Amino acid sequence: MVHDDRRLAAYLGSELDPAEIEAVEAHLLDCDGCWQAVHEARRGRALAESLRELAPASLRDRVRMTVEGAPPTLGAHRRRCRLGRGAATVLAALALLAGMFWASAGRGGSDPASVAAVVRAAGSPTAPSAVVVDGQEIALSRDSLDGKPVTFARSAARFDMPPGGRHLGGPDTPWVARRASMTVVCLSGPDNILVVADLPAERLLAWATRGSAPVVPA
Amino acid sequence: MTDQPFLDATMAHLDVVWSIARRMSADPAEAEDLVQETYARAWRGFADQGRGDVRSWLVAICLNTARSELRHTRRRPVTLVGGSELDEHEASDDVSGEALASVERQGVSRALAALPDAQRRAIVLVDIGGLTAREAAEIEGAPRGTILARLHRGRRQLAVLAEREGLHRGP
Repeated sequence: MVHDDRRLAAYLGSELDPAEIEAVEAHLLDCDGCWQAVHEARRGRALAESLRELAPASLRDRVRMTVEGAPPTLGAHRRRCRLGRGAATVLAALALLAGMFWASAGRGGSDPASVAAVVRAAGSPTAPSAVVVDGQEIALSRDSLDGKPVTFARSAARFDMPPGGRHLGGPDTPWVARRASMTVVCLSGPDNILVVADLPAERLLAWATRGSAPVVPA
Repeated sequence: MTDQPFLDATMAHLDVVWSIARRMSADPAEAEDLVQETYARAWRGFADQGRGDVRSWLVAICLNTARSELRHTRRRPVTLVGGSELDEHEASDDVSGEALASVERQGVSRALAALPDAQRRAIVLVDIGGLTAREAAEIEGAPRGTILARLHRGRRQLAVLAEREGLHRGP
């Protein structure tokens, strides 16, 4: 086998059949250049994947408003091009205020935004490494338990308990809540840790609170 | 046409469209506009979409919309991560893990923006958007092998550029 960028990329993308994989791996053992190339490409892929993000909750609302025919800010970008940056700032601020008002008016009694964002991230196939909610960045990482992905979220701000959740003891103790099939566990402590997985509450709670779970995102 | 079938089919892919829009836009506000315009165009074309792969279809609309916006504004996309919230982290005295991760992502973004356009697009589609090389090839109108080659060279170059940015993430 000769050095072949396409084949090495297909190898990294798991797009080769078993015989081809075996041939590439045999070649890698003998070729320092391709070994180094695969190492660099793996690293580049990991770096690129770190750029995956969750859409802001306000954008989700804005898209729905567009589709549902509510007064949208469609074409704001083109207006900004014509009006200049100063006017664009004003428009952006107005749009943000409108979005905040709409979101707050429509979410009465719903989940805290940070908890909702982490639950969405837990169900996202893109596995983002962070999400920003109301200017607060929440670091995310994933592990697995019983073959199911477990999402860890760490934030400098506390995760408020959503409706229907319950504390394990007093107000400052961990709380647990269910969202669809997901169990959400919030661990108290110096860091604000949220653990989310499609697992029974008892199982996730026991694992997350016994101290052996890797609760610190990478 | 009721909007619920459209929302059911497309909203699950909003994070993917957002991640791609962020890489194709100068700032978060422009990315939000791009996503909104993508969904508006998708909605108008939903009846003709058939039942093909919705995610690839949305991504293609997003890229085409970004291209048309580029032609309109006649400037190259700038890939930067973060708005004021990330700047606040950087300005903070609390050098937390989250702030460090934000700084790293900004460095990766700068490195990605420095790649040749074709390589950057391949990486955006496959590594950030989660498409297969075949799906990316269909969107780009290029052979799958070409996409794979762009991916490989782009990833290696990204690793080298990130190294120059002082980043050491990855295997």
